[in-house]
Amino acid sequence: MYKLDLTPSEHCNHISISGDLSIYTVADIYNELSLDFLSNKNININLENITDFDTAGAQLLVLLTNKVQQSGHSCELNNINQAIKDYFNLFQLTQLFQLTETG
Amino acid sequence: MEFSGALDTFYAESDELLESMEEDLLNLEDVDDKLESLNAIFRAAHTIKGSSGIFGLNHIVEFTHVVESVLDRARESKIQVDSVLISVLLKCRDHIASLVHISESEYRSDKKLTQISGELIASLTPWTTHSSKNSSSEPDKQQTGISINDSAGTTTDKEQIQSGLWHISIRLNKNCLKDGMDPVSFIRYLGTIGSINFIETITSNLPEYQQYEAENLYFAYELSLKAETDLQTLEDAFMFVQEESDITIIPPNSNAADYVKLIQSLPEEDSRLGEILVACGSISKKTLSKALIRQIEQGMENKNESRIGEVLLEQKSVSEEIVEAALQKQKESEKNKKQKEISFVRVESDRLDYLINLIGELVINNQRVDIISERINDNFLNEAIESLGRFTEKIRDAALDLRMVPIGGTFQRFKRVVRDTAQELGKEINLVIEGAETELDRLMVEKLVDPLTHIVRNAIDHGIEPIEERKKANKENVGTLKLSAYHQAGHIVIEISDDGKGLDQNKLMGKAIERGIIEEGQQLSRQEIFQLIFHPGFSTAENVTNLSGRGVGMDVVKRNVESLQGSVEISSELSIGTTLRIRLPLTLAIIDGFHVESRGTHFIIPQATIIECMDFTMHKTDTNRQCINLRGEMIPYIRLSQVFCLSESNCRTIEQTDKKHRDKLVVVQFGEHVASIVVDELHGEIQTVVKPMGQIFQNLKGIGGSTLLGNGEIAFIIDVPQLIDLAVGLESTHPDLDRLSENE
Repeated sequence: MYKLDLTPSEHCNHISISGDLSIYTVADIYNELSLDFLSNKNININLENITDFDTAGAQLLVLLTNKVQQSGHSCELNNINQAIKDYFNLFQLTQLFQLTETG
Repeated sequence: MEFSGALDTFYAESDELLESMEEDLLNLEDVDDKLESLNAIFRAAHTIKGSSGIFGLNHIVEFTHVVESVLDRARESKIQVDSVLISVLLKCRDHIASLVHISESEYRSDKKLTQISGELIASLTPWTTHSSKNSSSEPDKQQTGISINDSAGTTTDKEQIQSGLWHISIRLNKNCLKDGMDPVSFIRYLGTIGSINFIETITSNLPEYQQYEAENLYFAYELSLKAETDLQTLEDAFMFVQEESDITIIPPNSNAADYVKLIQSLPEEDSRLGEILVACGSISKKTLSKALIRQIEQGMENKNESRIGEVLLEQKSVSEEIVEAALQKQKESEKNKKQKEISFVRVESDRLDYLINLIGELVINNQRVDIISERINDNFLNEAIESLGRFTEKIRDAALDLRMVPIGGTFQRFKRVVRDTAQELGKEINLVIEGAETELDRLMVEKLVDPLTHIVRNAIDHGIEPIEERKKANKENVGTLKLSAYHQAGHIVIEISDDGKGLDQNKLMGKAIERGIIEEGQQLSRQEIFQLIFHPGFSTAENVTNLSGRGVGMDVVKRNVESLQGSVEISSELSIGTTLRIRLPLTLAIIDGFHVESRGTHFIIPQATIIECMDFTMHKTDTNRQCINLRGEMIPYIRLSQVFCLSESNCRTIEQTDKKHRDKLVVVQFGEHVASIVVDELHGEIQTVVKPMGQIFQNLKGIGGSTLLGNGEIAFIIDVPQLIDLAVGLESTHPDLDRLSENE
């Protein structure tokens, strides 16, 4: 199960994913995201409440980051949890992302 | 078939290759990264071998093959390159050089040469056999912590990587995620077998956003694992995904070629994979690039032998192709090298000399036209002639420039001389080269080699002390010999300096008296005492070694330098060292001169030596000492008319005869000497094509050559240093000669 919130704002489009970001949900999440939303502003993806994360999720995050960067904007991953951090560290993916924390 | 033309090319190419081979061999001792030099040396040997084969010069092929295989082992780090091996390889290089110019039948009948071949091949045995334990060389440890072992007992030419790391390359089936198998589980499992050293996730296989299928696996992995395990255990870890997956496991201590094979078999870009493998620590960059180059060369060997000239080029372009895909850095250096080579054109030196000669004639004719145009005095003509003159000058400079070569090439040769001489004498000497980029005429360079060699040997033999003596004198064990070159006032100065014991003035004087060169009680200046070493037959060495002092004395050095219109100066401090300074004109072909006249005879004084010109009569002179007071400084002067015994009857120019002479003074400088020359007329600057004096005038002092003036008259080119010498000699023998001529 997952929850996806897309919140446009003046300077930055916010994406918030909670719950599952794994093989079970990535196809739906991908379909719900519009290319337009991804490519006209900087993107902030909040991952604070992710409960399940796997390689399918990681692939989707790389895809999104690449896409946003290709359109000349920045893509931040906000508040990733320890499980995602561990995954990124294991596969040496950390340097691909711009990670931020908000209190 | 007409082979002679191609053979000439082969000779020229081989000589060039052998020259660079020598340079690279000598560099081997100094450089940290030996691989590049070793590869260059190997390629040179390889090309010579290949080309020799084409001409059926089997004697070269046979010998070079052995050398080449040793070089191959060296560059694969199977044997360590130490000074012993370098010495042997240098000797082999020399032997190849002597083999190159003879035919096979000549070789077979020459017992000495065949014997040398045999001996050299025998001396290479420690490095050709596979067990390196018996030789002085141990397998090389690489900086990365990866060492390469001799693969004794296994296939011959392959190299093992002893990183102790398994390398696993994972390309899983794209449906793997859907099937419930996440790579993370494999990686975690591998983590239980051993410790994961490094993982690189390859994300470049992700498609464009629109083509993305979220449930497919796009990631690929390269990882290195430190584990005490066997292949089966690792293969078992992937047993559930074997279908349509591509798992490559390279065990520790595999051949470098296996990594190359892996790179080539994977779908990703080779360069990226190369970097990843290096990042994983599975293979060092060096080893990988070596393996890649090896691949290329194996590919080459399989091909039919290429035509000469193409061999090198082909080798380069092929290596560029593959190495480009493998290692970016390597590619850049190769490319630079290639560009460097393309920018040269080989021209026969005779043709170049002919061109210079023609330009000389052009310069003379230009001057003639100049004189005629002055007479006609037409503005348009004058303008045209002026611009013609400007371009002639430019062409002259450009043509002379063609003959200019950096002296560095010549200096490089001395690395070998220094190495061999030092080794023979049991001394340790560090050769320092400065100003290698300084240019001078190629013709001069050729004539300089012998005198320089002699000076260098002399410095090592007599100048730099044996180690024990240096220790006593609180000097470093390693002596320093410095070769440097720089331009100074239209001349090139070459300095050879050592930090040896210096010249002992008392010893020099004693020897000179003993040999009857000077008389007891004769007063000599410091420089004069030093110059004694240039006296024929003068040798201060108590023991005549077979290096220096074998008949060819320093007098020959001085003569050679003087024949190039140069001079040698010495400065020396006891126990600090000696410096020999050779001063040479930049070129001998065409010079900027200053046209003067004395008693109707024309002379050219090289412009570069002139400081100023003035009226002689306006200055105070001291005729007793033949000196002139120039702004408070006493400067010696000489009269050209007196030195060359010119009288009015020698006068050839009619308009000059009735003119009363008014003495003019030309102040010249040579090295540290300043002197002045008294002449009748100053005619101004002129481009001078130097024609050497004929054989019978060789002993004529003070004249360096002749030239043809625009009006058809002959002018003599003054050799300033000789003239000063001559004047000094005249002064000492006939102190009142000048006064006599004044009274005439």
